[in-house]
Amino acid sequence: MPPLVYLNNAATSFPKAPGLGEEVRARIEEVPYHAGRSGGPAKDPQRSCRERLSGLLGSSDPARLVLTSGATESLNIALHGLPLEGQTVLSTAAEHNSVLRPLYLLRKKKKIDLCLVPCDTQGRVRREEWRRQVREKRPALAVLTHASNVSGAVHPVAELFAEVHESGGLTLLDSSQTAGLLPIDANRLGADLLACTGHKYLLGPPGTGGLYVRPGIELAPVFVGGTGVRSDLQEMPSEMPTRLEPGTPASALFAGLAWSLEWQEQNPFSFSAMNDRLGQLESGLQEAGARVIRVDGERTPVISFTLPRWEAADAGMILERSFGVICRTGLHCAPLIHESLGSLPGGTIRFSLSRFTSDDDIAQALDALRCLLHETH
Amino acid sequence: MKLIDVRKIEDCFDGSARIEYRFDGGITQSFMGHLASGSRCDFFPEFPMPFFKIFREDGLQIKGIIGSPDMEAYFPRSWTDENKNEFAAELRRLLETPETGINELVK
Repeated sequence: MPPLVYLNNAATSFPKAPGLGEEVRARIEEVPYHAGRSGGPAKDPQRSCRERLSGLLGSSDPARLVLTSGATESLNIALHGLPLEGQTVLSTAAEHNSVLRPLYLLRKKKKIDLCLVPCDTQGRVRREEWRRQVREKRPALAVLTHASNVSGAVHPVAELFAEVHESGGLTLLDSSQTAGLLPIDANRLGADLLACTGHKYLLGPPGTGGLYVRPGIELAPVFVGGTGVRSDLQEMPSEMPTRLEPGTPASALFAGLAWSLEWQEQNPFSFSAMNDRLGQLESGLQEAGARVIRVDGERTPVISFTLPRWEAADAGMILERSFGVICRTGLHCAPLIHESLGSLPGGTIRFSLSRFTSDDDIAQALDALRCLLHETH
Repeated sequence: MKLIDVRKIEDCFDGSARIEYRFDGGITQSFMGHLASGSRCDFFPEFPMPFFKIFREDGLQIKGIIGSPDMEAYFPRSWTDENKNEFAAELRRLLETPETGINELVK
């Protein structure tokens, strides 16, 4: 069996930041700290994580950064916590089910009207249709993924969100595919709310994430419970972020995320080197005969393709089990985008790189693909 | 070889279901041959670990890798849970029948 090549970083990154496992283990094995409850001798892991993550997202006020279990929880807190009753919510066909399913639920409960704008063949929302819907529907909220998890196409967020603000709506950005990869500044992008996850390009542990909430926006708590402060109240305290963080936090995991964020700050990576490898991969796939979903302009290190004569799921199984190339196949939890990409019903094979992907990894993946495509059915 | 786990892994876009079957040893070519009896079987022995996909007349598709301890089955949407349980029972019967020669683990 050849060495494993991990090309599924858009699902969850591997490897993680060096030392992450040791950090999480050390925090689990020490006397726990919990602000407002039992202090203990340890440092406050949430505080460190909150400050670093807040800074990464361009916020100067860590209190506006809610720590969550990941982007799915962040998005649900935002979508169920905003006063959207009777309003229109605008989103796109590029979204992941972590956005679509909460929106479908709100629609099913007859709380919102949902308008989904289709994508182009590269996986970006159709600009003219977005603009038309914003002007006609004047949505109370627009929800947009920063980059497609299927094609890697990055959206021109600042321009799209500016149009929503002009019509009086709020904006929610899903940065699951970009936090840790691209510079993110919530204010510059015009994101009133911004959801991120820790376990993808932030190189942190699964079970961590965050939600930035712009000052002036109040979310009704979706989850309520103990906070360790103002225990005399029947309702959640009004202070942020406590208002949106009931229950005992996953301190060791947040300590791990803080570790990963610090490691990334100290070890910046070359985005151009990663893009060069993506280019090598794309050229090699095309030469081998794959149908690559072409993406112009800004993109993440994600590439989706289909193979003649092979179902995506079968190819994925062979690549992983027979050639040691771990990738993702199918619809990638983003079912609507495939109509625009022309990849229904089986979806695509997706390779997603990280800062740790090497030239040898690319070469091994391409060798496997060539072998697969030269095999006769 | 024994069947040690049955796990539903995905509902597919077309409403079919994907179920994984895990064994306590690697799937042999002999086992694949018995599963494919009377059906079309695409077999790719040239890969480092050979891949197979069986298309049964009842619509069931089974695929796996020789030497790997698990395989996947795709059930058409018309298949009931009872049908799926019957298939698992069929697998167990096949594995318990000594004369099929499928109990030799892949070395």
